[in-house]
Amino acid sequence: MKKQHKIFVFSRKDKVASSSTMSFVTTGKKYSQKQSFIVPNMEEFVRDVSSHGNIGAIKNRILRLNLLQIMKLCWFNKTKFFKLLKKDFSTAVGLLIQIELLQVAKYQPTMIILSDQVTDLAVALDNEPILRNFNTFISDNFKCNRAVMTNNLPTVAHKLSTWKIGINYFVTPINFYGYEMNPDKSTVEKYLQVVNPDSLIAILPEASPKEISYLDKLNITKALINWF
Amino acid sequence: MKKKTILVTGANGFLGKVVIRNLLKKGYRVIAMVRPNTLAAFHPHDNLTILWADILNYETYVNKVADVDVIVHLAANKYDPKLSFLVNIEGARNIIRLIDKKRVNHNRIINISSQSTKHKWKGVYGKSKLESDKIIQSSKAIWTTIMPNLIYGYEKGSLFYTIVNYVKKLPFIPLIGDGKWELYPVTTEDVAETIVATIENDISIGKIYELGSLKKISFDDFILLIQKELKIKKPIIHIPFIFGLFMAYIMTKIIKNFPISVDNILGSNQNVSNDSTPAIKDLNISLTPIYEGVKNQLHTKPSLDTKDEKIKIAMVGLGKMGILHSTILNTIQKVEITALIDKDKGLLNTAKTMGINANFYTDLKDAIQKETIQAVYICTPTFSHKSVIDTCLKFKIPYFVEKPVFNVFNDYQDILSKKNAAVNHKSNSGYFWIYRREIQYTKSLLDKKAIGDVKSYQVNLRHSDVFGQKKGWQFVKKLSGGGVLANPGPHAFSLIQYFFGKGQVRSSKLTYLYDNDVEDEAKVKLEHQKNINGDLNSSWSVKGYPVLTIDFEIKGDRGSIIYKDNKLIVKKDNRVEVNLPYYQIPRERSVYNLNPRSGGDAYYIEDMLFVDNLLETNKKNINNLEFAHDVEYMIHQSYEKAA
Repeated sequence: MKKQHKIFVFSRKDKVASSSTMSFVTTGKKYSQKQSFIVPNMEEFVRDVSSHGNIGAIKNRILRLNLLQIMKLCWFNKTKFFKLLKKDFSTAVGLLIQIELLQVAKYQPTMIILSDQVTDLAVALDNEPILRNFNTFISDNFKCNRAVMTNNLPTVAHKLSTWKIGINYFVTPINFYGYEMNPDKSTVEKYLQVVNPDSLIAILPEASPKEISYLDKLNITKALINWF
Repeated sequence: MKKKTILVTGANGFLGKVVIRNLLKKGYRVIAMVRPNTLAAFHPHDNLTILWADILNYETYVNKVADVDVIVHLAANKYDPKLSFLVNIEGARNIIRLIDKKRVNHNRIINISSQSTKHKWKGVYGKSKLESDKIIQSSKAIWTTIMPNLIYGYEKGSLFYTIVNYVKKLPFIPLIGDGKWELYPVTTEDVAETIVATIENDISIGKIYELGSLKKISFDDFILLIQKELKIKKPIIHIPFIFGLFMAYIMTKIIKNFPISVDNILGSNQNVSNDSTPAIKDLNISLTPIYEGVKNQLHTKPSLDTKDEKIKIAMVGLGKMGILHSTILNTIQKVEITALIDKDKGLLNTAKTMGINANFYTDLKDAIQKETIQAVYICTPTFSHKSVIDTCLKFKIPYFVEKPVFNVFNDYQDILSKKNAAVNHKSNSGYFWIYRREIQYTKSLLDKKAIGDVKSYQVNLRHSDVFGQKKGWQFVKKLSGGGVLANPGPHAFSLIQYFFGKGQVRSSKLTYLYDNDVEDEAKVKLEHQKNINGDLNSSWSVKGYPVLTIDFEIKGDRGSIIYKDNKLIVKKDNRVEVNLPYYQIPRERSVYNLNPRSGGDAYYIEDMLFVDNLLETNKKNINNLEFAHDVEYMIHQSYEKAA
């Protein structure tokens, strides 16, 4: 995902009050200070896996880190070595996230978002450790907001609540046309009744007045555009 | 009569959730106060409103509370000494300020206290709750105080849950103190019922009710009861009280929300008397006996005791597609994956740690003999499909096989013979592309003759995938069946088959850019019944398409349908009648979407339909084996005509 995505914070008068950038971590790329990052970049990783295999793709990523970053990575994973050797999935996902975040820590992220592919996969498989490890890692090592991106808000939010995993934001499709509001638009709209609108960043397919007015009705003030 | 509106503080807590559920069930309107930075633990309900507010920030919610009949005050903090005083005392003061501000009709409040206020040596919780009781009882509020003994329920983080987990996971049960502590445990449901009874009975005004089971039980016996119910027997090891107190003090300093607090230790070594008779008499409630309560809690917890019959599925091949289908199937209630089959034993731990819990085998026959298997997913490389399908047919088990079904077209002859018809009738192939929203919508337009009779079409498949020689079975014709036409080409052929029916290949031109074995580009000309002619252009070596893209233009005698650049356009008489960007194209079914960028909704629908097939509820089965045969016939012809 090469393009960057904007978060617009809408005021109640339909005007853009402020904006910042949200993007995947792409190797070698420079970023602006205090922006948001989506981790891990699964599409880039899957591409690398098809060329170099799982181990090769992870090895290449580790070799891109400097010595200090590698030492930090070892420290983070000091008790997880055997799990990694045994191809423990949640530990491997955690490692991938750590590698990416070590590369962008210097930009002082304002928000770190778990990518939708990982969030939705983890929830579908009842894999609590992936989300818990992500949450703990960010809160222990970064002074920034934690978010999850999902295309299945009701299932994911309910599961996080059951697991008692507290995140600051959900980045999720909420839009006038109901695009990717899964399982369907009416279920998501009903579910919004039990989600704090301040914790929602709506993914919009377009930044039209129709969409802004739809969000306004739902008291949602933050939106991500240019995403799909 | 209009049901009362109840404001519940601490609504998201261990007791709060049960109280909310109970109030809603009884028809009350409920305002649940939930801290803004947390997730509400309730399902939406027409009578439920969430008030996102922190009880300590009075100004943020005072103006949002209106027309409330009763406050049920549950908000409390048990673990953090500083927060305990703040939440328990300042919280109570703020609730009374609401009453003083006339935000509550008749000033009614049900205050949930604790029997830890009766302890001789009080911890932070006991002290702060006692202070909070005094604040409420000395105010203008029309109050009732309920003072439960140990409240138990199977909820993550609760003492009961911790004990159950210890019983299940530890070799022994560590217990601080001598275990003779006398308890009068009461279930969350009984406390919730008592709250409702208190709301409805004015006799309770100004009274303090103790609440606990009618018979006492020692802590040791309580744990033994849990063990008995779980059919597990483990020794209880008693830890000296002073040592336990010290450890709890240290651990709560180190670990946030450590499950055992100093108050727990203090409480668990001081007996208090309990008399529930006044509550029972005044409120006409009944309390669940301890043994029954423990049984109910352990056997009504979610997901552990579901006895529903599920379709038992085996997954053969744990590569990308096997994992994808396993993940989707895990979200479908009616399905259980009972066996994972792969030649690579190393994948077992990865699959297990992903959350796919099933027994692992290296051979399908072995799995069939040892497990109940009602359907098989075949997600192995194409060249191995035939032998796995043969096994399924031998054991008469319906199967779902990834596309293309065969690398050798002649393999269909044996598979589609009459003797296999019953199994094949329930079996499907992995032609998921046809369930994408643009394809389904276009098909509905064609069925309605929106552009009249179809005359011609052009389908373009593009992917930026191959820009040099690549390794792997997909790039060996003998194993994969071919290049771009064999994979991902089947997607394009499947929509051609779906829209226009079986086609005959008139001509085919294959281009080999990087490899002499598998083609990188192909141009195929087809013809169908009713004089429909079509062109298929496909390439996996074109830049600018990181995600596989298939666009098309269909011309009819009254207009055309174009799907290009994620936009669907219908033209009639040179006028644009429909112009829908991708996000406005409707979708018929509800889905759990794992990846919108790769058609995750279509994969979900495909799997749901296969499950419906097995349940014989699929009335519109499209991607069956005959469909796959006709698609692959066109692919087979494309290679023959090019030769």
